[in-house]
Amino acid sequence: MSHSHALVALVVCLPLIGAIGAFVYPRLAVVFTAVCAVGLLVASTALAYAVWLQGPWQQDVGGWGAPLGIGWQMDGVSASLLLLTAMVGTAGAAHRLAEPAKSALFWPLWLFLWGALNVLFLSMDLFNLYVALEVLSLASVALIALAGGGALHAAWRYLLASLLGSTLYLLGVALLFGRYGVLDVDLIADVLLPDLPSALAAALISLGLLLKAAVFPLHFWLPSAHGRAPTVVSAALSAVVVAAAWYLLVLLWFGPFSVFLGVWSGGAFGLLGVGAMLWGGTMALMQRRLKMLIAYSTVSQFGFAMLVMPLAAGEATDLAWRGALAIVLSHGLAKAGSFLAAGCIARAHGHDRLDTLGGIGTGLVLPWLALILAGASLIGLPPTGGFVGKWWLLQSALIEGAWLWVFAILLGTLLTAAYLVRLLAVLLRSPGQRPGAMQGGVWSALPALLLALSAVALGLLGLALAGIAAVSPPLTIGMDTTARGFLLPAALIWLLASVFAARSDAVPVRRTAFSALWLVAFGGNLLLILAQDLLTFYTGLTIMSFAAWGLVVHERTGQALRAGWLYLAMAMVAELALLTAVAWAATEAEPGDALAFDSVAGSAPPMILLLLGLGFGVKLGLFGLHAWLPRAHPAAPAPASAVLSGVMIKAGLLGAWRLLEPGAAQVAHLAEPLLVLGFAGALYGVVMGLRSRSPKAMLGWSSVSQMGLATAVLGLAAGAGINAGSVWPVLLLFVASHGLAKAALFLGAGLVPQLAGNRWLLGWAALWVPALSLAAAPLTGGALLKAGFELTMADFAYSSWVAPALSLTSVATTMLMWRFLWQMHATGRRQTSARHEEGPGRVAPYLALVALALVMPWWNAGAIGAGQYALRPGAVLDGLWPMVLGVLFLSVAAGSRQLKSGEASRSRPARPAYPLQRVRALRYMVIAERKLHGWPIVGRLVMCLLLTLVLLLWMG
Amino acid sequence: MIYLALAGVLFVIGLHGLFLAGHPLRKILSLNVLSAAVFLLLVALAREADPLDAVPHAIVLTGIVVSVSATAVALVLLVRLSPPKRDSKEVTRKEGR
Repeated sequence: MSHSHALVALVVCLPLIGAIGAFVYPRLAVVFTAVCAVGLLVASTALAYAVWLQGPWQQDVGGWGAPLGIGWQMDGVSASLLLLTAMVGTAGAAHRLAEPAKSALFWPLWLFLWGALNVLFLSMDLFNLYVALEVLSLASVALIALAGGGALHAAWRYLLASLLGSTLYLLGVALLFGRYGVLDVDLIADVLLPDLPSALAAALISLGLLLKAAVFPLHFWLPSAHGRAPTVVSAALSAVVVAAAWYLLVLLWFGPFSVFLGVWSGGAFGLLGVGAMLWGGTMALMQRRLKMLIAYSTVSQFGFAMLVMPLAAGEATDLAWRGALAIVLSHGLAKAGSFLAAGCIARAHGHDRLDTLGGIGTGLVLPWLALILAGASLIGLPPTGGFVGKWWLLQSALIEGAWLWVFAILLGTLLTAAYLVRLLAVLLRSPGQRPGAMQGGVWSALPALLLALSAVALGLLGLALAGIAAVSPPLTIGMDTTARGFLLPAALIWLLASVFAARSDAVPVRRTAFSALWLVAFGGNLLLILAQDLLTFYTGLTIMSFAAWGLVVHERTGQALRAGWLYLAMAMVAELALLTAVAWAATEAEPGDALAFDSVAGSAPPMILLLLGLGFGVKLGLFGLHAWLPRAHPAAPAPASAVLSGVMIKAGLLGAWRLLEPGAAQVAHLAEPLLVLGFAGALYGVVMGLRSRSPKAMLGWSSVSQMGLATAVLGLAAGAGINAGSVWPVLLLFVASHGLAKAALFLGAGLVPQLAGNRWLLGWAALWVPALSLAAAPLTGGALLKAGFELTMADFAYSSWVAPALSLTSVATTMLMWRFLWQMHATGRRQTSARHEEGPGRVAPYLALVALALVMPWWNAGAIGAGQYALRPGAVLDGLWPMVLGVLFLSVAAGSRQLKSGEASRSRPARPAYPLQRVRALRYMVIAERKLHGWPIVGRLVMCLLLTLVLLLWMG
Repeated sequence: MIYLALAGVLFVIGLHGLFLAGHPLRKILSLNVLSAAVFLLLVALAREADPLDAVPHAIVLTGIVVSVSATAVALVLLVRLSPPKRDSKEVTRKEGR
């Protein structure tokens, strides 16, 4: 026997022998399991490697060929599922060791489960598959029943459903055998004819497998079974056992039953998948217990996997296959990791009711981290495995123009994000009742964390492998003019803000979490600046946005949490828009080519440009999409606000610029609307800022206003068409001057109230420099920006109203900055007693930023002669009169009560989960779900589905 | 042949019992009737082949073994689910999560 054949035999025999040994010698059970786990992990990896090298192969058990003998096969799909089983099995066994377990029967049952799964993935004989399915069900039922109590009912229901499924399957097999006389899958594929007995057999087999895979509406047994089973068992069941049933379904439908696979039958399965996605997602949203939420999430995620039937039946077969496989594999890893992490958390608290589960308590950091990483993969954030799968599935749906599946995928992703965000809400709660320390110490959460990390790594691996095989766009980074221009101010701000944040007074609590999120956001920011194609940019943007959310809610005040929810909601909207756009871009590109910006911009239809605009617009705070900006940026700690407003907000700007720069997009008609929108936003931001009470809120609104100016610059670029590159110096000036000035202002706003005596005066005086710069005072960066704008705009048709608009903006910003400085002065004086001696630690970076805000724009100004333009004598006067006007207006208005009343507190209730129950439609859904769990309804559903399937297959 | 039709009838009876019967024991019996229907179908198919086909017989034998094991597991679960008649001498081993 060759090596690979021996490995295959090992993969089957080792767990079965181990199981028998573990049963006969209970005291050595753990040793047997450990040996099997290591052996199986090694063997599965070796098999996967062998398939990667030499391709799929087949072998006959015992040397007897089909039709009498049983055939086994090994290909990419089964090898990867085999490896998944090995990983989940090992992690589960390791986790079980850390648990205070009592039953010695666990180990033999676990090994039987493992062995059955291995046989299932290898076998190509219909009856052999039946035996594997049966062993699998019986082992699973026994494992679930180990939990006792409520799990017994769940195990009972699972047993009945499982046996029903197996019997339906067997009846189908019997019919097939009676008609064709063979049991081997390949042989049947050769001889299958689309007549009534075959249709009936196919329907019966499919129904049996649908029952076992818990596809909507036959999912009634899954939530309670997976929710009440012991932790490790839930992990294995959700991750692999359901995947095994799905694998069989797909194996048979793309093998023997492919004659039946058409638009209608594929569509029927797809509709079941859509139902699973939406129903499972909504039910998960309503759950009160953590494990039930994760269990319903399994129902929902396999809905995505079912989409392979309609999509792979169409044109983009390869893409759909890869996507579905990536989803199933990453779901397996992420779901197993979530269940193991949930088990750690539940054990530490003693229960898993979501409303009373506390936040991160002592030593629960690792499980929550695992849960968050797994959640990121389940939602489908780049660069995790879930993203790769969804992205490929979206591409195949877009290629076929099947808008139903596209919307279903997007809606399913939104629902997944919604119920996973509930977990975030739990995480942010203070750990009220001190949970007990995690039993087993840090090590018990390690399997969960490793699985969750594997889910993320799977995405990177998938992208890398697909890039090598030239079937998917690669990730590219590099340095070009644009990157250099954005990188320098960004690096300076990050550096100085990090030095600021390193002082313990800047960020008093939870410093480790803050540092971790800070570094991740920094990494994402770097990635997106250096990105040379749309996919890498999107990846960096997502990483940065979601890490930034953590920074926004860091202080856990009510205001910060509310701002965080709004930020998250809008970030998800941007995320979905960008996901669709990137998927579309990938369908247009040649396979293996990077998604270069110029090709995307050149060939994008208006719809995709709209989506890109929506995504980047939310990120950049475009007027109309800006609602999150003035609430989120002030709520963060001072250094975080500095980088948020100084650097991270430029990400949207960079994205839009990359698309406009090549001049390939036909967006000239957007120039005027963008200019109008920009200036309107600039003025609106100032008005709202003037109504605010706190200095930081004013700075937030000032960011809205400044990003309006940035939008105007983008409008110039759009209008320039082919010569968009000529607008680059203006953009560069904006990035440098605004970024540095705003960062300095935020650092000052956080620092100055805490200074004493002379230092306070120094700090407050230093605030004048960036404030004047924003207001476009002469000799500052703002003036250079204005000069650059006027110079570039001279060639365009809109000069008539833009120059006055610029001056008006300058007036308005002066008013806002003056009020800000006044407020800072007033705040400072009031808190005389609270100030304490401050070492050079925080003042130095602040002053350095102020100095840079003054100097850097001059460095960048040479390109268009903005420097000379700004230095002419007339320019100084041009710069001064708006400021004088601004101060005058402000003094007049300051007398009126309107400004003094300040901003009404727009308190928005925190996003509660249970008021969802009040929505009548959702209440009906919960009642319907409970009815679905009753056997009479199940019976009717089974018969209906059977008849429908038979008709579809026979007629279609 | 008549045995094929009989197998179909038995199958429907088994489904009916599984979905509509109240007592769990009747559900287990219905599952057994379902398996019996499938085995009857297989044996009838074997009978029709000329010469007598042995593979369905092998399938039926394996199927009976599987059916027996499944019934045994179901009965054990049933026993554990029923309320205890006397003071629990059996220690209900609660595993916890």
